Amino acid sequence: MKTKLLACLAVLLALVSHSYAQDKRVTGTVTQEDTQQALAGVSVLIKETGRSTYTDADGRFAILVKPEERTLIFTYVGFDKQEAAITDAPVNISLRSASNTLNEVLVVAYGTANKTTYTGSASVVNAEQIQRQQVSTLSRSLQGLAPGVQSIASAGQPGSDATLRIRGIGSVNASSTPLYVVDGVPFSGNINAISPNDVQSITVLKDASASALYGSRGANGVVIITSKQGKLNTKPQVSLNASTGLSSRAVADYGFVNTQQYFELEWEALRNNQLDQGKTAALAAQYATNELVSTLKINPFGTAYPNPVGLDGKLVAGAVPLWNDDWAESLSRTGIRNELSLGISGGSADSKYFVSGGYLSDKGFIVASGFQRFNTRVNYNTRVNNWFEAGLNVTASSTSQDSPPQTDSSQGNFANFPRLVSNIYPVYERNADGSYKLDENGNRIYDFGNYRPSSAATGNNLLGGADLNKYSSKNDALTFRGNIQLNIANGLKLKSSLNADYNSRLGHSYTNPILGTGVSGGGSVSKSSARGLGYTFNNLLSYTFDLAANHFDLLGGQEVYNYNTSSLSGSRSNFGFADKDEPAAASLLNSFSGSSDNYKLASFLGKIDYNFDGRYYFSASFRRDGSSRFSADSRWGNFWSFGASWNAKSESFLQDAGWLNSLSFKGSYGAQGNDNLGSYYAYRGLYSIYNSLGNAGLISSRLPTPGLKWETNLNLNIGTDFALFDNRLSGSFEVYNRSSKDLLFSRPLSPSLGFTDIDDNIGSLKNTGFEGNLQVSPVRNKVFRWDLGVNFGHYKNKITKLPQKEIIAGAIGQLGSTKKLTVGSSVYDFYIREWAGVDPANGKPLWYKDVISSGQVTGRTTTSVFADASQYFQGSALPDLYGGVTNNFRYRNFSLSAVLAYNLGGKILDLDEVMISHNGEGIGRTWSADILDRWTPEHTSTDVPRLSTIATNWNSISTRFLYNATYARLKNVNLGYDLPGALAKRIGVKDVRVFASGENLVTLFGHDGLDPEQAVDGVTFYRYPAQKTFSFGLNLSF
Amino acid sequence: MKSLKTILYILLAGLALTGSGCSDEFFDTAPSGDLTDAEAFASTKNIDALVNGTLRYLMETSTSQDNPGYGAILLTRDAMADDAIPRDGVYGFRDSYPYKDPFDNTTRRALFFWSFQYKVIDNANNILAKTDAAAGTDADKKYLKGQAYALRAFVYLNLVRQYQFTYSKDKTAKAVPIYIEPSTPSTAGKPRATVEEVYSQVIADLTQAETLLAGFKRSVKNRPDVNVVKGLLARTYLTQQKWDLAAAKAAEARSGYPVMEASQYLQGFNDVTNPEWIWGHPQKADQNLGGASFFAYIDVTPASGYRSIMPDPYFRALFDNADIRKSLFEVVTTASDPMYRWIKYKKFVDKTDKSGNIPLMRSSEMALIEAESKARLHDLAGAVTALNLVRVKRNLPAAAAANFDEIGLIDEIIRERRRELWGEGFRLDDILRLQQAVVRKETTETVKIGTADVLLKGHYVRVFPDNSPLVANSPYYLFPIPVNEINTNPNL
Repeated sequence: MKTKLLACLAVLLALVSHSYAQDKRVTGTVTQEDTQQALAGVSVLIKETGRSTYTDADGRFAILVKPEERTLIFTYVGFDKQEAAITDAPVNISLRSASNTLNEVLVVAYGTANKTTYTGSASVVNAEQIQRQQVSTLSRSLQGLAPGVQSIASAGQPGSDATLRIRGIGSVNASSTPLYVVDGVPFSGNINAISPNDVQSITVLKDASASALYGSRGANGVVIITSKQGKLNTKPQVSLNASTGLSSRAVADYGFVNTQQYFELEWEALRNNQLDQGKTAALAAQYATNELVSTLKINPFGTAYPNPVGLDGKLVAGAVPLWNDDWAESLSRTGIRNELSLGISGGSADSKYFVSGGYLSDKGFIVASGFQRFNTRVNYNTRVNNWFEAGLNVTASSTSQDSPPQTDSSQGNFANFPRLVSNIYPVYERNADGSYKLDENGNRIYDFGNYRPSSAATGNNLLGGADLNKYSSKNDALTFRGNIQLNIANGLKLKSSLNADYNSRLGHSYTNPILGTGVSGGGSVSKSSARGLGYTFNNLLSYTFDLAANHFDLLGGQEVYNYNTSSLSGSRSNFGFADKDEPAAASLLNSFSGSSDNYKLASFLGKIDYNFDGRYYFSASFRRDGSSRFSADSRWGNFWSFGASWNAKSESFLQDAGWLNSLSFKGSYGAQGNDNLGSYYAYRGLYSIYNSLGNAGLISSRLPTPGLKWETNLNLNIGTDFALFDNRLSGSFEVYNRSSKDLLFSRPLSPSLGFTDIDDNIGSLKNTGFEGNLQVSPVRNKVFRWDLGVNFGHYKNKITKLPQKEIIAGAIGQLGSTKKLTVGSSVYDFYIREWAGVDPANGKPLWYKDVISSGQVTGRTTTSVFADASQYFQGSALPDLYGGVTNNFRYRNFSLSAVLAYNLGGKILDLDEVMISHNGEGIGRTWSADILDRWTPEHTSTDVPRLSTIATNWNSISTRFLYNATYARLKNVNLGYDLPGALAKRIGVKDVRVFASGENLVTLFGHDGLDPEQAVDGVTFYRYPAQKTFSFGLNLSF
Repeated sequence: MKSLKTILYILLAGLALTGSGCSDEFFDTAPSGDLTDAEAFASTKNIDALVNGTLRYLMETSTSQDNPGYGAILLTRDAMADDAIPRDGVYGFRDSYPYKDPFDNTTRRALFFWSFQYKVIDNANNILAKTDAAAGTDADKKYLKGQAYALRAFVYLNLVRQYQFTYSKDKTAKAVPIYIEPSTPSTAGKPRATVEEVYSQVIADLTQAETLLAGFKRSVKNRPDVNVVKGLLARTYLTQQKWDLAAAKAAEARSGYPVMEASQYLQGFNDVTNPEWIWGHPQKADQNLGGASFFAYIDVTPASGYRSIMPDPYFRALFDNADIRKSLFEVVTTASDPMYRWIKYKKFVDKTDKSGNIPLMRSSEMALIEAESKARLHDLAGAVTALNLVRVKRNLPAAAAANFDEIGLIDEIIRERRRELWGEGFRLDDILRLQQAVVRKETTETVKIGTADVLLKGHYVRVFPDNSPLVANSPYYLFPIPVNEINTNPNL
């Protein structure tokens, strides 16, 4: 390999020419007229002699001219051609765009491209769109804006990231998460460390032509984040953004029964169970009346009513609850979000800079949750002389997240706690007459409910512990992007870059010894620290040249990626002192551990972009990756792509069609990989170190899979871009076929083998779909402008090959599986029991069950035994259509924009509802108001079964809890007012904008109580629900 | 200027080369928390670690708080029988009590009981197959293999009694698959072997272990030694109704482990140093599983926690007043106590650092096996002698053979098993072995609190889920083969 590289460098050196004569050197920059954005790759042609050059990434060019050469011609696809006379001064040109939407300059893999003629598929979200949204992390800014990108913010926790799926699900057991690239290099940090205010654009690469250059990491698409840069030849400009907002729960919770209802219902459950044990109705009722309070362990009706429910099952006359506490309300608050950022940018003739700093504090609506970020950035690029350039981006950020447990069924889950503890139990301790008990200082005392049944979180009161406990995690991140570039000859450049992402995470969880769950162990504390360092070093040689009307861009190089993570953690318990929350103060060591991992990747890559006369475009790319994730035998893989596009508008027969502003067609095919199999050592047979009683211990952990390799995606993309009627109607449409092969599967084994599964590359799946967007400007004049955009995406996911007939998948902890994989079905097809209602005769739950005679299914019947019921395919979690609708209005100095995200079709399995649905066995647990409709001998037509204190499984996973997932959410509304220029000038500033913004203000969804924005697999998991935020802010620049 | 440029190029070229490492060493990475299989079996020292880890796995692995390793099986066996009751509304075993779980083969408990025991079998199989090739002394190899045989037999003996009715009911019934070779990526699932075949495997393994472990001096009481192996043989023979063998092995097993004194019975059943513990699993604070531990459910004495497994008032009635064990009962009469009106049985008391040890085999059980076997062999005098080993240490007068006929004596010995072994996971096995029905009666016992006669709490589920009466040899008493095994093992 090294010899190859030497040869390559030898060629490089040989190419270095020193042909600069005594000619005059002409320099200048080319920008886009309306945005002032630098245009890269603009052809700069000398009219007299036909010699030419191209602008660089900063829109700069330099060419040596002879005395007889006097005029430069600037041409760039999609822009009007311009001529300029050669003078002694720099030639700075602004090209007028022929279209406002199609001539975006895209930041793509290892370079930039013009959207019109780009052979790959990419969507862009720009700074303006990002800035309108008051989101705390960038990953949340794509929803509804980028066609083909499914963005699901499944948690409301401030600072938590959205899940992104680009063009479907390409993997089953490996990661389906796209690769993040920040300022040109794969990013090894947390996306929430990047301030959205620092970002110039986000490009989403969707097909092979666009992302094959990322090789073994590009299969799930690539999200390229590019930070703001200064501009050459501009005075320093300061921009200041400030906003403040309030947040609350976006979707109201389920309805619950009240105290009286709860007591009467639990009485009925007790009575019914006694009937089932063989008692007479009278004795059963007597038992229920006598045992009700001792069952629920509380009597909110006071000592005057020792048996509050009579033999008739009704609350006795005169009994009223002495309190009406609300756990959900108690654990909520009005969240507050404040953000402030300052940026300074500018540039001289040779250097440009962007410097920024920001602060964000986002306190969520659930107590004890929050996110804070301090960030700062310096981006600096300079041209030292005509052959040497250098650039440096450095950012530092410190984030702190207070993230109380919020995503599982445990008692500690702040989002779920009100769904565990019924409101019959007081939040604060009460006297027998219902008045508050007070401590010696006159304060209320949290009721930790040691008396509560364990289905109602015995001995726990999260509110009481919230201020005392800690769930904090602090992240300090440094990112470094440094490069030097040598301009070896006209069009020939060598760029070397060294890039590092450093992350340090400090976790600190503390459970106090005074109140709540920590009392018995004297409190506990755990602290963890993890250091991650990922660096990428690359050397890229690029050469741009023309042969007559043939234009070539070549790129070749080599790259090394190395990621090291090292962590340690420990926990101690039994604090001797209150008010101390560090391990130093705890007396008993419970655990101490640490580990480290390395991941290495070495690559060679190259690409060719070619066009003929600005009409026909071809591209090809190749990358070879070697990865430490695989054994030496299957370490190296090749990834490639071909693409072509046709700029039809540039053909002579369309040039005169005035109604048509642009039209292009494109297609691509290629292979990308996915090496993120979840483990760095997935191919090895391993025994876990499992020490015991102070001595070394081991236990088998996985079977070997020596030939394990990456998954490969084969991607076909065909699309068109167009703009009509003076660009008042524009859009794009693409169809794709994304086939994944060598899929990593956890092939289930018989548990009796001692292993439940083995990882293997077996199976294929396919995502076919289309996506597009349409932009219309119904009104467009100086006073009023209305732009309407609609984007949409659809895909079908289909398994085309499996190692065995079927694989049961999608296990949800204790609740069982939800999916089955078979050839022809989708990864996210629900495979669950089918609810058949409640047996009118006895109130038992019923599910469907196949009738099987001699091995054949001959019909269906019903059963009240859950385990006996058959499972059936019940539709997919994947939507039929998803996307967004954007509206932008501008009237004089007012602007209003709105983003509506929608999801049509698909199913959602509401396990949150399961948590609050029981038939009386969940004693003391919060009870859904649906239970009021339960079966009784008098009310037999219902789908809520008869009550009993023994579980009936009706709340197990079945279609009873499966709902249509169609929803729409008003993600963002932003109303702004720009101070008129003259007025702004009078107060000494350039631009002033004040705005009001709302996030998640409206949610339209057919099933009350559930937040529809849940996981891609369509299963809820007691998550922190989305918040709605209402903010005001100010943008100021001078 | 030119030379500077050239220097820069060369510098860059050098950088490119150093960064381009793509030899195989470049890719060498290794996990920090695992050993490869070759490393694991390189030496007897490493294999000893595997035995140690396998024992911890057997005792402590858990998929959820209510499945604390083998302790979950012990607790389930009592919760599904008659003398113990999972307190109403308390997490843990409240679904096992009414025979909902693990009877339902889709539950996590059904999956857990099956998978974790078979993982222990596979680790034992690996040790048996790979120890001979490891570096180490022959004695070490002998002892490691002996322990592996003992562990494998222990698990198969559990499985055969959990997944099928007792040996004497139908030894040709299909029980569970037998694996005696390490699983590889290409191993196929095996069919269910008959009850008879599983017992043969258990006897064969224990016989091997008995030979190999001769001379093995364990350093920790969780290691199976020759006494443990003999005890397991006694249990096996008892179930097979091979009374003479059972009596003989039981007597050998308790050799060196005198039945504890009455006062020691009050010490909380939490320490392997107890003189009559033949086998037990110590715990340490750093591997304390908190809520997911045997003691979290069985110990009802702390101020908070699950405190789930309560005695039936009818069980208390089985004790004489003089019995030291009776002093452990306490009726909860404080209305604000969540255990109000329940009886607490304070046999198990966790240690302060929550590291209560798990009892696995005691001399008392062995004495009672001997007593029962001798009674069934019509040796009433011998039986009473063995029975009295326990009785006198519990402050009871010695029983006299003259006061019993054979059936009466066997009944008394079974009652003694109930009294002595409560909470240690024997009751359901005994009911299955004796082919009896679980008897659950609603309590009518009251306690004076102030002036009122307050009803005690007792059994609240006294029928099967289909409302049919509790009968002998009901499939509700068996553990089901989990649906995952049925789906993935076509040979089953």
